[in-house]
Amino acid sequence: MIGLPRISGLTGIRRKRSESVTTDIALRCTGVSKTFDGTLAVDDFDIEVKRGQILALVGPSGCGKTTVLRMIAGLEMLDTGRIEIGGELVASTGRHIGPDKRSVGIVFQDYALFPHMTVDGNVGYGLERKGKSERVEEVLELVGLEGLGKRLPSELSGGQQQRVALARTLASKPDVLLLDEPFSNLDAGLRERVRSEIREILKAAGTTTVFVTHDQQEALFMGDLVGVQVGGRIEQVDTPERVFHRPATNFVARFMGMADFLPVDPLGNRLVTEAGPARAVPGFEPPESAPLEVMARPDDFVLAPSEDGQGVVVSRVFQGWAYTYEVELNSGLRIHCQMPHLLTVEVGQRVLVNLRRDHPQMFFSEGHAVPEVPRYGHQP
Amino acid sequence: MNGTRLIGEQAPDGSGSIWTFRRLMPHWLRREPLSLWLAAIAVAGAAALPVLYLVVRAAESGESAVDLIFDFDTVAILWRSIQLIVIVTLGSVLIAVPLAWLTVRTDLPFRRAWAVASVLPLAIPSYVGALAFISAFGPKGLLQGWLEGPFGVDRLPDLYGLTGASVVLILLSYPYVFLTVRATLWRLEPEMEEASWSLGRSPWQTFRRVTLPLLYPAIGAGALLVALYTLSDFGAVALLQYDTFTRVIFNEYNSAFNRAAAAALSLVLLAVAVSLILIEASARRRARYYSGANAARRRRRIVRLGRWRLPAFVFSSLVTVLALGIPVFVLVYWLTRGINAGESGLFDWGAAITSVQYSVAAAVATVIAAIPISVLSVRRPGILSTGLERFSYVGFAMPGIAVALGLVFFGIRFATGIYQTAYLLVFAYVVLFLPVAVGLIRSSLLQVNPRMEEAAMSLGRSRINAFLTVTVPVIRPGLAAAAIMVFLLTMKELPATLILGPIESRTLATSIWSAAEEAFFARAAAPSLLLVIASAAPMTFLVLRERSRN
Repeated sequence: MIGLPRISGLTGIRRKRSESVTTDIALRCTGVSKTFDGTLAVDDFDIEVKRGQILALVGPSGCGKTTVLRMIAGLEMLDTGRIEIGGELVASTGRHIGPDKRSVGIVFQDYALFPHMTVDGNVGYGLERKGKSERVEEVLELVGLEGLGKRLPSELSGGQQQRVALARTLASKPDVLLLDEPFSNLDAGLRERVRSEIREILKAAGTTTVFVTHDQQEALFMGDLVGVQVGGRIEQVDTPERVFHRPATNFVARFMGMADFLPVDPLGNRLVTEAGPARAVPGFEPPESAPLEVMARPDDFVLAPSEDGQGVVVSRVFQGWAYTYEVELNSGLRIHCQMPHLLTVEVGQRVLVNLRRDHPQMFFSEGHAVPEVPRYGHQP
Repeated sequence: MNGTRLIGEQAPDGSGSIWTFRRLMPHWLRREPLSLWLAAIAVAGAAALPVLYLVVRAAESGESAVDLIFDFDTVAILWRSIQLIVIVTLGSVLIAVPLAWLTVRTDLPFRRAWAVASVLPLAIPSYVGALAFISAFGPKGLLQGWLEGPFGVDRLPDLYGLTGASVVLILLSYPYVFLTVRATLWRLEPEMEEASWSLGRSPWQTFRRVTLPLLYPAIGAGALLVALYTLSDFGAVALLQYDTFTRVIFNEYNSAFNRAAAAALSLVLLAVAVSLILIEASARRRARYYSGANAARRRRRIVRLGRWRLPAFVFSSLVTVLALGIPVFVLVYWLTRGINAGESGLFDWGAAITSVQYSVAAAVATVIAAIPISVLSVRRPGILSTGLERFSYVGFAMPGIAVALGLVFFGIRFATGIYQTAYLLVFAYVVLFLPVAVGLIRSSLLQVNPRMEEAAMSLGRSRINAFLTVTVPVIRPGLAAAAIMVFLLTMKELPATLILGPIESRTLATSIWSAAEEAFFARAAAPSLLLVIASAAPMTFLVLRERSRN
């Protein structure tokens, strides 16, 4: 306990807490950039997370999301930009507050539990002596590990280790909790259960969380906000529903779920595609000269066997409740249609494919949504 | 065994005699190939030969040996030896741990250079180190000579006895702890420390509560080596006139020709060594953790020393000047004086080549012998494997002279064919230095996730193949460190070489000894320098190679 300001009352040995600060933004990154060995790992990164929200950062591997997390934690220094936690500036060019002085907790991908300490020792590690055992008990109860405090990490299952790591971080009530691919070391069955448990724990604790994953399903499930990152840049931040249904770019559309893009030929006020006319929102204005595409998810098509159809089934994937057919259209374009399992079409069968017209579609031009969808969506 | 068959399962036809035999073995024995167990037992058995001799010799002399063991003098010798061991071990840990941390984790200026310089004292034999210190700081030594003129100093604090022996042995043996701690520091997962920082602990608290406890196994292993080295050292205590077991035993054997007494005292010495080993083992009990497969994945953060940079620099410099600078300076001083006085035949190249040949042979043989015991004690901790490992430590605690005499006895009675050949001599080296190799290989094996080898076997590799293609490359730094350590120790080893060396063969160590016996310092200086340089070169290579790895 050398040289650290003690905080009054609760638990954490750490620094001043930001309760006095009157902002509901728990975390704000502005224009954060970071270069490793000449490669731009994080490029002009902006994000804002409100108190108690969970932000899921999702992107392909190598997109710099873990680097973002480590900069927020103070484990890496940023090159340019600003990071504020609870309204307090913790990092900017030439200013770097160490990880031990930030009210940020991080849960590592492989947990990094201290092997020489018991569960109690691990969970109480960041706490002041006063009130430590009560807080440890409380947090272990929160994560459902009561009674296991005397075990060593090596005596726990993977799922239990994960919860110890979470408890250790939650114990000192950080302003911001960071989770780095927390479920990637768990097997699939366990993963679904653990992630909903952890979401409940985080919501019960009211902890502001940034959660990094490469799995879209996980991001859509965990996040109050989903941020899609690619090539070191934020491509879009919005609610899970809007990121999925109203992607700002081609990349987001493809990354968040299967999506096909069909060229559109505007004929007067009709938007004609190879799979029939597409429906747009009222007042939709196609761009003057740029090429236009319509985005279609597999459930946006209807498919029927027909000798006069414009496509041929080239493959079929059985998913239990449905089949997903890959259909090659006359133009050579391949699209994906999902149909209920009641209808079975054989590979090689000629089919007629049409876009559903019961809801308006999203349109894209040169990789961006038309009309434009803002990169930073509305806060829920 | 092929990879698709389950471990311990019967051969397909069920008739192979080995398989039938294996089925009769207890489960824990069956998990590793029988050949590995046999090899480990053979190595441990060979290491036990000298002990056998001591017991036989002591038994032959009957009651007088028992009387001698419980003699008052023996208790006094024991007390002196324990004092020396405690002081040297503590001193080594206090120097080595900060130095290892500074050279791995901080922005200490010239940390590469310090890393090399901090290992090099191992290249200095204790008899050379002690001679150099006596020559520098002793009565009528260089320092006093310089101070006498301008300041009229005619007396320096007494160097002989416990003080001198402690200082010399600390400076020559702290690298054991330095090496084991440094190897572990490189392999610790950076996430452990990062987790601690992000939980609000300062770098100092993180070091004390996370890093240091994770280093305990390495510190323990290194400290045990230092303690055993101190216990079995002869050169420094003899020259600095501190009567520990080795010096008394040597005098009994050499001057009094009392082999029974020498054997009886050696048995007491052995008991002390076994106690040390048991102390370390009980401390190690819970420390069987390994780091994850992705340990060195991320570049680790360098701790900025800030205003502590200068004190750290002074500390590193002081250690190196004392442990390395002064002995080398004294040797060069004597060599220059010898050359200026027109001495001839100062360099004995033949002896140097013989030394290197013996040392290379010993290094290779010892590492190969150490692998079965190391693997079994890490992977299958049990009564037998742990017992084998502990037994192999005995050789290090035995003074070289006792091991050598044991093998003389063995050679004359059972192996006249190899007696007084290089084979028996190399065998003596293996017995003597096996524990060093086992210690180093064990520490690096502890860091290997056994799942990796299992993954290789599941990919169709045999157990041996998996070990060679997966584990060996990962522990290669440990194997290289072990080979180099054995090389150095063999270069320095004196009594075993004197007693078992083929007649006519001269090594650097025996050249130095005969020159030192005649107080011919100028003649001792040249082979000493050669020895130091020849052992320093591979060590420098080893430490520098770390740079390319990390």
